[in-house]
Amino acid sequence: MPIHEKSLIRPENLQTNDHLVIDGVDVSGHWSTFIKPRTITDYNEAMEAVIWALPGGENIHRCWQCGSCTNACTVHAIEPEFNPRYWIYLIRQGLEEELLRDKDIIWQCVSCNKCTYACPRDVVPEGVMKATAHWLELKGHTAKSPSTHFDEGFTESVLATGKIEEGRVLRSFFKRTGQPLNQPWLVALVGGLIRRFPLAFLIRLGWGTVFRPRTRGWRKAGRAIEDYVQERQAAQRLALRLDGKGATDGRQ
Amino acid sequence: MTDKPILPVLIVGGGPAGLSAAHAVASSGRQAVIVDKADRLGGAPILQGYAKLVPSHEWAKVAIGGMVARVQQNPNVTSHLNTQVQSFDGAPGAFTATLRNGTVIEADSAILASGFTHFDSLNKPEWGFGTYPDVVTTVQVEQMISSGAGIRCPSDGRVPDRVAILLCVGSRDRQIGREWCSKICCTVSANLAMEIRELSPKTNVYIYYMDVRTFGLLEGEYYWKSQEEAKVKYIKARIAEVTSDGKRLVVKGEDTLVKRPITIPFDLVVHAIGMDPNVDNMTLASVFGVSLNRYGFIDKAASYVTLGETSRPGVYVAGAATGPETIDDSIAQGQAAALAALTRAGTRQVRAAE
Amino acid sequence: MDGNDLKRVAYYPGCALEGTGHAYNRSTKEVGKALGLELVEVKDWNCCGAMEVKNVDPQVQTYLSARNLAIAEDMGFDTVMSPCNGCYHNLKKAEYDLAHNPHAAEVNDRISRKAGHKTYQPGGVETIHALDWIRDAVGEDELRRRAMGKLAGLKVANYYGCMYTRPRHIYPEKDKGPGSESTLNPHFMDDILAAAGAENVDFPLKTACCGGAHSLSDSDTSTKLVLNILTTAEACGAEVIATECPTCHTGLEMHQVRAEKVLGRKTNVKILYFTQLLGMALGMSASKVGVQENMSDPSELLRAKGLG
Ligand SMILES: Cc1cc2nc3c(=O)[nH]c(=O)nc-3n(C[C@H](O)[C@H](O)[C@H](O)COP(=O)(O)OP(=O)(O)OC[C@H]3O[C@@H](n4cnc5c(N)ncnc54)[C@H](O)[C@@H]3O)c2cc1C
Ligand code: SF4
Ligand code: SF4
Ligand code: SF4
Repeated sequence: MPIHEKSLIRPENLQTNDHLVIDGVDVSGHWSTFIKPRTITDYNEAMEAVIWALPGGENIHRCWQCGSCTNACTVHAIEPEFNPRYWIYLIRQGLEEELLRDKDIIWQCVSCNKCTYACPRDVVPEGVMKATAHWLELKGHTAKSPSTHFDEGFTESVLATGKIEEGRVLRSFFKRTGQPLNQPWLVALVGGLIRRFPLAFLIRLGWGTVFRPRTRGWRKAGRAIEDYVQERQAAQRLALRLDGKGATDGRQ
Repeated sequence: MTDKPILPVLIVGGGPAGLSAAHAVASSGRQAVIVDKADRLGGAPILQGYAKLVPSHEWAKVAIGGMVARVQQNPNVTSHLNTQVQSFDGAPGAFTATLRNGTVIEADSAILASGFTHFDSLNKPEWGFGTYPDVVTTVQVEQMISSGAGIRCPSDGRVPDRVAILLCVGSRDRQIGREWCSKICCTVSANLAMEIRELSPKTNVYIYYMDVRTFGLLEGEYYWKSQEEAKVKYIKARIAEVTSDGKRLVVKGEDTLVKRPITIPFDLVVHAIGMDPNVDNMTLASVFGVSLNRYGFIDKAASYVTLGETSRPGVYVAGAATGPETIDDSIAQGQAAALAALTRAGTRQVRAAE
Repeated sequence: MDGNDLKRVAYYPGCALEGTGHAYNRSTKEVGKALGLELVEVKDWNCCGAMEVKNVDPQVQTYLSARNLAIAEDMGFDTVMSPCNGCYHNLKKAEYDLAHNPHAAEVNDRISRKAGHKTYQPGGVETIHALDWIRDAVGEDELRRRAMGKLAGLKVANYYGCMYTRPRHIYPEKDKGPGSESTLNPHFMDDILAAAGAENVDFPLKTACCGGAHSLSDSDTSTKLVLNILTTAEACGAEVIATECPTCHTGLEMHQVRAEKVLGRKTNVKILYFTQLLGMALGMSASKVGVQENMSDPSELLRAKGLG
């Protein structure tokens, strides 16, 4: 079949044989270009239930594919492949392989909740995005996203002291993601501040570093939360039947 | 048993449901009293000035007007317009209703045919109604057609090149607490689309849908015909917002079938508005002592062996008061409620001689 | 808010107002003081979880806010005011979830007991934003009288961001017609600044997202989103973007710098908290409302407008 619209075909589905003779006709090279079929041959029936069990995914089963989430979506506007409606469909039908094609952008949801505002079925697509990104990490399909690192550093700080100190969270984040703190724009930013407002800024920065802000009487609350979180995460791992593989470090 | 005459049946609302109930009651020889808060009988199709009705293709003025005339000419029917029931006491067979204008009506039983309220599109501001004059509702399009003004953009009176009809505005939407389908708006939209195409063949009409619910026999007559003959285009997308580029309206959404964002210019955008519970339902519920269902419509006993019963004996309900209904169904329910009232246990049957 | 005493409310500043949003904290307090309003800080408050903790566990996030609400209630207040959109949103969301989601209520009860304090029951206190507070406790007429048109000639784009209006269901008091806030086209900040004489420009991105949740973790996305907000504000003729959230404010400032350094796109619009503008309209100096703590330096513009 002549290929009219090559761009519609995924490159990995194009097959060319350097040497091929069919019925005595030499069709080597581009003459023998075949398109591998993309027939869907099965559904992963467990997939929806798995996302459903993760925080944020509770309402995924309500979706009726209207597209309101995608067309309201902040990230979709700058990255057309970012498509909550489509991913929800894939998850609900269990088309895992298709979903994995987009695995590296799902975490980019900025939690603006424009989707939640628009969704007529109250699916909370924002939550589904978080659950899906979480699932990809738990399954080891993706490394922990920068966003997960940030969430975890942040949460640890809250559990420990009841509060966060931005400088600390920032430093912890850059450390966790292995980014240097001396990025030119950051330097310019901090530099500008120091120039205009040296003393108070430095004092505040230093103060937070030495005297970590904490909530008085937090210890018991922090511990109660930790117990709960551990219990939940054990339950999730059970629901996902995880065997210890995957990017689960720090989440036990 | 005494020979005291049987009291009339009180009917609240003179729309299709109330008119059909009144006609049925009157035809059996009993008295019917209609109370309607509007200044005319006829209900939504008359008060809102609908154009040609689905599925009869008859003009609302003619079809519903005929029902009104039939009732007005019947000596067994009395009407009280511009008023409402203020209080309602007593028991089946001997109810007393007092109207706001002071009239007291003794009634054997009552039928609530108080209908619905049109969804107010201002509650979905993202779709531009109230912000842009060229965003209108299906009711306004009905009026454009029935008044003979034709299809025109309210902003400058031009005939639109391109019209978008957005389905399910104010229906099927948890964000605004409306978890029902309004049943008729898909068909009404297909019908209006065909009318627009007929009035102005140069105008292209697009219908943005999630599902197309032209149920039963309406499928061929409206959905298929609109596509096959009138060349109305159906696009599977629930749009995100209607804005304006200064000249034309811009409809933004995702075309879900091609998985692509769309931003398409239109001259006129029409909201296919749904049917809300009557805004008076809380009052009606307390005056008549009937319960509402979880959507806010009047609760109708869900049973195969009762006819239009509410939670209060002797008070029946029919038509869009019970939930979104078509005119045909409202009429059928009006007749059913009339039958229920006429045959209420304990009622003496009207003797043949009378 | 009907019937609540807004002249004296519980104050929940949140973590950001003790860090990057310090200028907002300061200017809010100063404005309150000048207008005769009293703020009593919630005792031993904790972080609301911002946009992060919920991704680890949503019920924990609900608890975090419930604890703060419980304390405010214990202190005898019926209203807690938060100037930060994130905190405000989380307090509101906790209120909603505790009333509508039995699981959230159960977990809250469980953790509260273990932590040794009273379990917060929904309806105990009402959460309001700094915008509600100033608008309702003082009123536009009084603001107009006090500000005497001091912001006249200042062209402002009012930027509300995401969390002040979304998702709609956690804000049952909004979209209630005239007098109430609109989730699609919020206007309380517009109203307040207009009362102080400012000229609000027609700004279509009032509730656009600045990418705050990924300000650091996905800086490129945030920079693009912020740049769009900045350039649109400029195109609309704004000299200043007024903000009412420390995360938005910092995001705009940070990515204004980053857009210039990384994408080579320089924008000149200034970014100020609405409380800073209002404070200066009430005659305060720029330093009193913490303008020197802002990353973008607006002194030239302020001088030209005779402010601060
Ligand atoms: C845009 C649009 C187009 C439609 N087109 C069609 C169509 O083509 N075909 C079709 O089958 N259906 C159509 N419908 C549906 C149709 O309008 C309803 O099925 C029909 O009106 C229901 O009749 P009803 O008598 O139950 O209620 P209504 O028509 O609503 O009548 C109720 C009556 O009760 C009165 N009333 C209300 N409250 C009180 C009170 N408290 N006290 C006293 N009186 C009161 C009102 O004044 C009114 O006269 C359409 C609906 C819409 C929104
Ligand atoms: S919350 Fe995430 S998925 Fe939803 S609109 Fe915003 S970016 Fe898109
Ligand atoms: S808006 Fe809601 S119902 Fe519509 S496609 Fe998105 S998640 Fe599904
Ligand atoms: S009839 Fe059609 S337009 Fe109306 S609510 Fe139902 S699906 Fe939507």
